[in-house]
Amino acid sequence: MSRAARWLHAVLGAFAIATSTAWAGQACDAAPPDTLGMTRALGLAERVQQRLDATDAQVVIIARAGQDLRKYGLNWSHLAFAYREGNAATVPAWQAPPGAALFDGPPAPRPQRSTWRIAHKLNQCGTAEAAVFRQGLAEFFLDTPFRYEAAFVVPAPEVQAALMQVLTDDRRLVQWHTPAYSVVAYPWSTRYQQSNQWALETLAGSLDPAASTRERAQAWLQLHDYQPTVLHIDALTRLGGRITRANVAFDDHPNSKRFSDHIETVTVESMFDWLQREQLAGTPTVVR
Amino acid sequence: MKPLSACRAIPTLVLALAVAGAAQAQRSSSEVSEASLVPVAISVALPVVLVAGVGSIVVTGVQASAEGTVWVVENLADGVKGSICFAGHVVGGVSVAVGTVITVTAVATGMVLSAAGHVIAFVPNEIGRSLSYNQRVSR
Repeated sequence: MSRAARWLHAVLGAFAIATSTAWAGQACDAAPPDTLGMTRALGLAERVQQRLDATDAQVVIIARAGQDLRKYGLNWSHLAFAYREGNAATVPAWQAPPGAALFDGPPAPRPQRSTWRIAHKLNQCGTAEAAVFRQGLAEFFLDTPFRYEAAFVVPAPEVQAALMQVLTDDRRLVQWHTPAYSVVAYPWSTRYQQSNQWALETLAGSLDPAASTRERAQAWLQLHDYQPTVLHIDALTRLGGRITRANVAFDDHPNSKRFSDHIETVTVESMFDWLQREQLAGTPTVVR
Repeated sequence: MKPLSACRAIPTLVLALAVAGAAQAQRSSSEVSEASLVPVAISVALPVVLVAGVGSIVVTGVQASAEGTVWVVENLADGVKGSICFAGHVVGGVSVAVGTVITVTAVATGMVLSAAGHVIAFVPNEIGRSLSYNQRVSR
């Protein structure tokens, strides 16, 4: 392979990483979605709502497949919390107001539906920053995902109760949030924070009142044997990613690991495995 | 043209529109592009003429003001006229002008309105409204 070809390969590889691992946003493209994508996203959002309603959970941990990460052995790219809003948050039967001349939509079934809110961290336009959002299930799946599928785990009741206290409190929801963003942020550093890492540290902070900072949350996670995923990313690819993308950085990784191409980061799979291993949550349910 | 005040006949839907409006303001002020912000308008109300749910309508008038936007439309199948109302400015990358033909697709969560293959508006029913929300929590 020529030098130019190697360089191109490296840059393309970096793009794949930059837009994949812990993928939580996309380029600033305000183009409207196509009809098929919109209807598929809305359909998935409704199916997820139905599956969540069928549980007795108040809080779940949910993943989407925003990007194709199969070459890294990963099926899911982005993690969020979903919680049932209100104790009796069901959709009331619609009734036309007296004298209303307008109708607000097509006839629809009138099942009891809960309102689920998503809490997650999103990267902004591929920049080096991210923010925490509270959204609906529709918005969560309208990111033109790689696959219109979702997976969720139901945490143990005491974990749900602890999470609910944080998810409904704007101040606590950002307590473990750092705006500086890298898609491959090192799990044991606080220089950057990717989306799945925010969810993991927020979970730790919710479970232990002493884990009130990112450093303490990470210490708690190490104490409880959380194991990140190891991605094998060579030097040329790392260099290409760092140069071409603002939201890719490797300088938070220890040199010994970085220079041996071992890039550790927080993934959906590593979190699901750990939650099950620690008996903090059950097995994943996939919704298609 | 139907007066804009007619669009306020169903107050329960204004909240959903306020959310959509806030999302758009956020996009323009901070250039946040989390693609999750649906780049389409969410209708306040839909006229009875469209309740059948499937088919095409043509825009015969557009009225915009500080309060919102109204599209006056006509059903291509039977010529029945009505108005589609939005709070705030209609967002999205597809401009809607007089003569634009809009395809109406009924889904379980409401109606998807599209032009030239791109979604320009979503008209949620109760289920659709329960699925839609957007709030930036951190600065």
